[in-house]
Amino acid sequence: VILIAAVIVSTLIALMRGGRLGRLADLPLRYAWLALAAVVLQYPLVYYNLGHGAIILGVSVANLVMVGSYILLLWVLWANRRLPGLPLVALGVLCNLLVMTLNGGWMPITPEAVARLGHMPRVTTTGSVAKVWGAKDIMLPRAQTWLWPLSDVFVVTAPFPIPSAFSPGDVLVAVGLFWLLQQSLVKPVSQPADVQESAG
Amino acid sequence: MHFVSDSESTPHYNGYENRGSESVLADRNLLREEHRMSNQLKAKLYSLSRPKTIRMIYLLVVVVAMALAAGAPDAWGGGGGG
Repeated sequence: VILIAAVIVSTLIALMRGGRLGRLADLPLRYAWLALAAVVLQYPLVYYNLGHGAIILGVSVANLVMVGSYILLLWVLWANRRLPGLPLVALGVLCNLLVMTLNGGWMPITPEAVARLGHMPRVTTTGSVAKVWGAKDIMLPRAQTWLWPLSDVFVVTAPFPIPSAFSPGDVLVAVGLFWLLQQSLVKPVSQPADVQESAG
Repeated sequence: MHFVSDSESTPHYNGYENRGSESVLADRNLLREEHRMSNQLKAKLYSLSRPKTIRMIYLLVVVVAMALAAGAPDAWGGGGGG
């Protein structure tokens, strides 16, 4: 939710700065559909806990699909690395992917953070994994978390309108997309010749 | 028997006639305005089906998808409740 809000706010700021939404159509984003495919892959894992029981080579199918969706996204970001802001988004994705891979394929969040946000009722325990429903998060004590500083360490509660926990990687993603929207809506993005040919 | 003279009937008749022409004129203006608005609406709807507008909407959806797929906050999308 907080990242969707970040995109909406970025768009509104760009429009207030004299930007035009129509200019987004000129953005030469390649393999854009892969980003949609990544969301389609992640959706059943986040909301239906699918693939947790099935194990392939000692790893659950859910973890493999989650990591696979991130690789798809990294592919899109690599193909569009010349667009403003997207290298920063890629760095955010790498940070999130690293900490998630080291912690069983999910983003760790401490029980204290979940309690502060009042999201304890959303925690479902399957075996030894306490997953937060509607998120890519698992609840892990700080002592058991690999690379804790890259996990969901930022916690914002009320009176902030969207109480949430997010990671440094999420911040990089939000800043990168903010930059992309400012550059592409406020002034036209220059199209390198090779990108122009294969845009779409 | 009461006969209505021209001097009596004419103002009444003309008034009726005037109200009628005003009403027709108003109807015509209304129709013209409706036609103009309908054309504007049609133009707006047609503009939505232009390839550039479709691509703009598509890329806006892709940017949101990118944010969702890349990020890992504790509440993901609309159904996350956060």
